[in-house]
Amino acid sequence: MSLNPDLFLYNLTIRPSVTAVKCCIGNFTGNRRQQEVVRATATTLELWKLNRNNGDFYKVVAQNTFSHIRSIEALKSSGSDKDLLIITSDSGNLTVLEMNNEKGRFESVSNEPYFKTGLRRISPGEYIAVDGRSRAAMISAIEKNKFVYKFTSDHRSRLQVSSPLEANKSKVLTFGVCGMDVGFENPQFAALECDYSDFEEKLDKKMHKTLCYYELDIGLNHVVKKYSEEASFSSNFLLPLPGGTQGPSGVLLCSEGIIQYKCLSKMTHTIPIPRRSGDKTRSRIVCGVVHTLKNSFFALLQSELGDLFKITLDYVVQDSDESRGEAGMVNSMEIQYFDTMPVCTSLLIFRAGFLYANCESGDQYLYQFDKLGDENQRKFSSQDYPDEVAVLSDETTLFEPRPLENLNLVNIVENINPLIDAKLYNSNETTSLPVIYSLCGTGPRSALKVLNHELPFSEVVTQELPSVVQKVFVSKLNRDDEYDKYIVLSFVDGTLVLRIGEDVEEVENSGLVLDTNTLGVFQVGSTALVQVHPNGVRQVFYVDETPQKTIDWAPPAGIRVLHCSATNSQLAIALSNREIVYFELDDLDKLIEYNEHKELAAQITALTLGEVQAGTARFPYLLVACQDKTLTVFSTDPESTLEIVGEEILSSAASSLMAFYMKDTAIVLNKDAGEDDEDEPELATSLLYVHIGMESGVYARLQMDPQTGELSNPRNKYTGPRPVQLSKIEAVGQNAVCIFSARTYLGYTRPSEFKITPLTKPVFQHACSFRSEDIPENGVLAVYGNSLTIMTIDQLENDTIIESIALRNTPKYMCDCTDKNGMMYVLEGDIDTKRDIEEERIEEYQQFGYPRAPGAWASCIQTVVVADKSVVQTIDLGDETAFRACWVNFESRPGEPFLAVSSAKNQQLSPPRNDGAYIHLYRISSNGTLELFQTTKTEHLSLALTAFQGKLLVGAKNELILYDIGQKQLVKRSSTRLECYEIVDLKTQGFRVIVSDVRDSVRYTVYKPLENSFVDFIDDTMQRHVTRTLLLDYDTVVVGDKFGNISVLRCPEQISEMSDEDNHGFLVKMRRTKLDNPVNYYVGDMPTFFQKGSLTIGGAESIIYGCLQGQMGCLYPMKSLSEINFFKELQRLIIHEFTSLTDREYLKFKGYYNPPKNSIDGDLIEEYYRLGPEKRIRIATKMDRLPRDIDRRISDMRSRIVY
Amino acid sequence: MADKIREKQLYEALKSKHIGLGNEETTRTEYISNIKRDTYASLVAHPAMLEFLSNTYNKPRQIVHTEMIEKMIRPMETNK
Repeated sequence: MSLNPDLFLYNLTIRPSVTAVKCCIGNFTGNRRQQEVVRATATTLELWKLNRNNGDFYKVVAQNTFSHIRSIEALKSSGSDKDLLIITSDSGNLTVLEMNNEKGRFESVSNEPYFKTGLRRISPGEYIAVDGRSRAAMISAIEKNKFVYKFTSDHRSRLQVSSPLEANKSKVLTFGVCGMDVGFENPQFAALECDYSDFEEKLDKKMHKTLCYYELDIGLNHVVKKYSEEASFSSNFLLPLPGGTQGPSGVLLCSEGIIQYKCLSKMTHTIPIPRRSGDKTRSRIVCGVVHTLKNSFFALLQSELGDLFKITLDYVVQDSDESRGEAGMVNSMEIQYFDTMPVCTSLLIFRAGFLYANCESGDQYLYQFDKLGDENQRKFSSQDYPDEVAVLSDETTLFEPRPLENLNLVNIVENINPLIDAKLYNSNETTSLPVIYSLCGTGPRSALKVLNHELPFSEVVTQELPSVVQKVFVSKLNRDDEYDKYIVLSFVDGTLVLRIGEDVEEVENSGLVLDTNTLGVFQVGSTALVQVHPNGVRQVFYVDETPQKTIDWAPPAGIRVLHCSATNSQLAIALSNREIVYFELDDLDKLIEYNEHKELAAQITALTLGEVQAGTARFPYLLVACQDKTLTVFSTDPESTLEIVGEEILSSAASSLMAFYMKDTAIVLNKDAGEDDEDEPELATSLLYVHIGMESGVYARLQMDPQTGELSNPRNKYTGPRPVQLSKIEAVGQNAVCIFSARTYLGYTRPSEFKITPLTKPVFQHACSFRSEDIPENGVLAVYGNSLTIMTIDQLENDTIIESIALRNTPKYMCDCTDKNGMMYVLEGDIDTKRDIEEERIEEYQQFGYPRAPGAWASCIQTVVVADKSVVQTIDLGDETAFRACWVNFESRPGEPFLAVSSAKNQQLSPPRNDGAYIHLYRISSNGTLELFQTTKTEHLSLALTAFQGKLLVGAKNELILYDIGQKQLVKRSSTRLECYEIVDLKTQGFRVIVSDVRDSVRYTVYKPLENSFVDFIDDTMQRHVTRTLLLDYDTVVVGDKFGNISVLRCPEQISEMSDEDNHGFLVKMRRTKLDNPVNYYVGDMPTFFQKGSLTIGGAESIIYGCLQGQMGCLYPMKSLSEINFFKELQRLIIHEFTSLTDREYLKFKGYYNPPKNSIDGDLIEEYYRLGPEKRIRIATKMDRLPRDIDRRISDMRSRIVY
Repeated sequence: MADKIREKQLYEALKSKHIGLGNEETTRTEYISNIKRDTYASLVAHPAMLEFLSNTYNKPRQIVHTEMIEKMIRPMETNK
């Protein structure tokens, strides 16, 4: 195997971005009884479904578009029940998508190019406004351009998109566009604009915005600006109201403190936005939704503080007879406080009475409407306010925020955006998996979230047993029993039989052998049980649950039974003399031994029959694994009993074997989630798999052809350093494989992939499926130590358990000292927030947010104990805000660790300015808490701190300052000014310091004690806006920038050596060399976290990264050249065959800032699974391989690095 | 001479179509205004940047979105 000398990275996303750009509601799958939500994140479209019965809200489809989504909007199609989706993206195309229910994927119906690619200022797509009847849409840019498209359907009711009509005007900025509902009149659009040619030059002129009405004349096929009127400069939001027979038409124009009803040729109505009592500033509206009821409608608007207001209109209802499509006149408008919830980007109302709140940060909520406002709450009517002045001069428009009254929280979808920083934490226990601590959320809802990649189960009951249980079996007595009757527990030297009834109690008279351990208990024939134990086989026949007759079979003297497997009509056992004995049931349900024992070459380690398909009498094969690492397939056909069908060589001896059907990875989408119909596993879409647990700790899965017995398509997974045992479990309507090794894992099928996820602790020895009257489904009986647990596995969708540690303010920085004293010091701060808050009112704050106080900061340092997951100390910083911190051990004060924290008093953001910057030294006591030791005033705010050679190195502005500890304050030892702007990060190794700048990439400097200064000896060719860096080795650094690039920079070896050898650093400085850039990769989200590590037990080490919008992934350095060449070639071919949903050219998208270099995009590679069979074969042929070979290599790659 | 006028007309036509087109007579103010407007528009259009700003300023995204576009009206005006 030849190795690649250069760095070559393979990227895999482990968690997608979660911040939604926009959400839409509609019947996207065409099921009229159910509405779905489409969430568009920066690059991905997700389809979410709601279960009306229990309020479950879950993701069914996620599809990467490989482009930046700008906006989405639902489009009702006239021909069918299925709603379409309009997307604008950086591809410069107007894309209309339809959900393909069979494939569970969005497919494009129309893709109209209209502009250059990229997210430009004048490229339309920032706003989409669809006319109320879905006849036309206006696509608008931030500046100048507006296009109007008409939608018609052809005779086959397929959507036709017209060519665009332009409504461009130079020097016009657009703040919002909405499509008005005018019934079947010509479509109208309202836009909130500002013509800057009026104000650009005349600086003293008072600025205002304009509300413009555009009309699309369908007959003449052109767009005219019908009317425009002046609007307040603070206007920021438009919401269209229903028209036609459903309402008065028109829009709500929201400005600071005011909401106005506007409609062409109708009177304006004005109402105030009520203020919270105590809050002096007027608030603005940030989002809203209109909901139409049978005979009326209402609007919910959310203010920037999160308060929801209900708006109702009193208007003349137009009879459909006389309406002529024209809606009625509005008499008055009323506003009323509704409820308060965190600020949202989209609010969506389901017809089933749910409100989906897509919160800007952190978790999303699903509420249910209890009622629609109450009479006691004060209403403000437009009749009291003749004009704007009247509204603004009214100081009494107040309300008291209160806990939820009209809404009822039913579901929380946990989200980890914005992700400020994270830490991959691996406690060194063998059974613990790596967990990710992530700092996320904002304000009172911020938290340190612990992400465990584990599948949760709910425990029903746990029972202590007299001694350690080795295996557990559950069996019914009759073939037709609905529920299981017996629990058989096998101990080292005995067996215990329990009956499941009202209580679980011991069975006195079971007929089974109790004085030895049990290898297996199976229900066979119609009313018999077979127990296999080391000394033989016993068959017990039952009548009314009492044993009537027992038949024993014993092996030759001195020989023991080692393994067994059975179906309802077959039994196979392995003996210690390397023989297999095969039995079949006769007509009287008696076990008949096959006359010949099959002897094998080596000791048998495992054997299995398989799941019998309905309608067949037997499982046609017997699989036997031996100590010599072979896996042999025997036939059980009566014609050719125990003849060898096939043989495989395994990588290690198998310790356990299973064969059963599992669901195919296809998606069954259009099943009404609202109805709990029995989720029978459909065998038609199931495939037969052989599951192998090996002694080396590897679990393997092979596909088996039921006709030929041929094995194919291996998938491997390392589960820990222990021999693997397997068992079959039924969970959530599908067969799953339970894997017992260093941890307990569950292997199951998710739409489009087979997943293996660890179960939450404890580590079980054995488990089996279990069904009783109390637990009719998903029941599992598991044993660990001498405990027996009955539990249920209720869901397989969510494979991450998130624990939350609440924090006080928005986290800004995390100083991770887990490797030093197991603590994390979190710096937090919120600008414009009132300082003194009462700790005990934290729940209120989580709903209402902290009180505002313009210009003030609320900031604190919190100490988190990682092991206990608790906050032990909160240091309030008064009017200062903490920005960065680092752990430092001063050479002059050995054994006394300090935390250096940089802070500023009254920091302002733009332009940056403060009333004094400080570095505080906190002494870290033995229990990890902080104690203020001394404070040093500094000239500038330091945004980078690091311990360096027993001193403290600080980057303030463009200066590197080395401090040592003094009596009263820090003492400056050295300072060097660099040619950069603002140092934001420092990384050191030896005497080398790698300095990151806010907008000038990184530069390497070296400290020269002789000169007592830092020599800047190499820098970058690009001006990267660095967010985070990670040292890979002495010469190499990974850099993330604000635009979503991850690059690797490396110092040439020669320069690196020179920088160390040269005592003064003059020579190396003279060289003025630039850093090499071996790798470039575009992630599309702002990296905020880097770490080297491995995500699974025994997984390969890679660079883990996390991004602001919640995306997490890893970059795995590929080593073998043949592998690199394989994936390079595969990627090249996939790019060639792959078309993104929005028709964005893949390489242009990934090369948005820099061309991708020495990197493979695993997400694109995995699209290979989803390409059509033709394309898959075409690629495979070009690569001279079989498609399933390619599948296997892709999945191997994934299982090597991630879950 | 006629060529010059024609050239100028052509330039004006192109300039109205392609915002930010410049020539030797473009002033510093005009040039910087254009760059600033592009920057603000780009900050607003990239979801990650918008989230970053909204998080820093502790303001809802909708408000930051509006304020950034408002800055495009008079980009040369210094921050208050």
